[in-house]
Amino acid sequence: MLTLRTEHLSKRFGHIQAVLDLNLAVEEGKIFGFLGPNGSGKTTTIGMVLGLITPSGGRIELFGRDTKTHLKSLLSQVGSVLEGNSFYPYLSGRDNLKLFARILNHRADSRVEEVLEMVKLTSRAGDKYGAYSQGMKQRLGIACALLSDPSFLILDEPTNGLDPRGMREIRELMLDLRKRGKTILLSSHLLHEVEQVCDHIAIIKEGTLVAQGETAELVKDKNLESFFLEVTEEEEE
Amino acid sequence: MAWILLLVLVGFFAIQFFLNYAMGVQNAEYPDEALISLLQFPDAFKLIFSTAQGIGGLLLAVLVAFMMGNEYHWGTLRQTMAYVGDRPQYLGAKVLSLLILAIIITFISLLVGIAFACATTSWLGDLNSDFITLSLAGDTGIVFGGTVLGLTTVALLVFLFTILGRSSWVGLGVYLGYSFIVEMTVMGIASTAGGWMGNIPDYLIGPNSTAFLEMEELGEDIGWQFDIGLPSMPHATLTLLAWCAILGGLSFWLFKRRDITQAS
Repeated sequence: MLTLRTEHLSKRFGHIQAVLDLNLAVEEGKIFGFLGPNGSGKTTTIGMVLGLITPSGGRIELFGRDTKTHLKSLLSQVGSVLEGNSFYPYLSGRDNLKLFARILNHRADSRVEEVLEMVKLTSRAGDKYGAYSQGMKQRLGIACALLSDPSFLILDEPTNGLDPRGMREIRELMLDLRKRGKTILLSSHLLHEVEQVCDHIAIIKEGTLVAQGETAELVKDKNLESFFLEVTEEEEE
Repeated sequence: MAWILLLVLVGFFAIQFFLNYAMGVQNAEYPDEALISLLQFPDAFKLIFSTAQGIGGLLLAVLVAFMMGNEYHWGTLRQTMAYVGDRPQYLGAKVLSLLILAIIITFISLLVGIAFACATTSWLGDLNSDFITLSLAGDTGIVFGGTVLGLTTVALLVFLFTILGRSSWVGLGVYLGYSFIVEMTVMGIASTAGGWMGNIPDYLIGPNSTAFLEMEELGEDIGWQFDIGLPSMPHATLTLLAWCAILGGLSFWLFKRRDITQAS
């Protein structure tokens, strides 16, 4: 079953075509890498999936249902880490999570300490969010995404700001979540990281899909970086 | 921030009452009877609610502008909407908060005003409960409701433009511009113009909010700086409700349509 499917998805901002005719298929229980150069439309696509940005055309299905009519109920099964994610600076990390737990559902409240432990933020959970380092902010974003124990996680640059140890921890967390049957959409510039964890990838350039498939099949004898550069450069010619 | 605004409210009431007291009694031989009357119950209620509409409106504008504007500035709006998904529900909660703030500000203004009025009444006359009648209580209730309605209208104006500009400062700027430039200018022109132009103030927020202060039980009129009549209370109620519906409706429509992008 497909967790996420987009059909002819498009978005235009004025005269800029940010996304054009995008057809993605994210299989259940897989880690799906969503790659592309800066400004290629990855964040816009994620915004459309989460209902933050209204598509100019096309269709989005989550868990087989159209997001246009069922967005609120579908989002209850989705956790997300957005690029530049943010919380209330005057609240502590723990209080921010409790606030979002109240927004999500009553069960989420009981998972606050558990998710803080998963992202190794327990010792600093009582500090104000405004005093957090970039890495700590990112960890809190991941913790928030895990609060409702969602079946689908959308992670936009989740290791941004993390040190190498932190990156490895998040990588291991993603692999563990996949083992537990979760589906993950990972948008990242760190190709070596994507290559280590992703079963499938899609590469987008200037809003258009240029490659999609199983990572091993697409990359073949090369590494992902070479394949990525080849595919994105080829379109420029 | 809430505590600072509360202090500002109390400070402003103190200035209003004590300054007027000083001005009223400065000439011992010929005291200003109108001003002295305004500092004693029951007339003091007019001064209290007039002050609530003035300083209360400004404080509410600040609170509402930053309540919504900070969500854009911090990026928490995007974070929240990625989980909530239901934009009308989110905005409805914000509008409800705004209404509750209007009620709280009016209530606190009433309490603070009564405290100061007790002081000035005891200095100027005889502080007793003889003025308390059922009719006065009823009129005070109506003025309380009218003040809340007026403040809510102002808050929705700020709210709409904060959403439009994705910034607290846009909302606050529009409030200041509307209150101190647009309304003043229009009413100044209307007071000298005739015909349909003279009727324009009947549809502005300020005159309709002030109309609620013209309750007989609350004593003599406090005076209106412009040479134009105030609308009737039913007219004021309908006009302010219409403003609320338009401003609130536009806020919901705009918020539903707009893309929510990264923090501004």
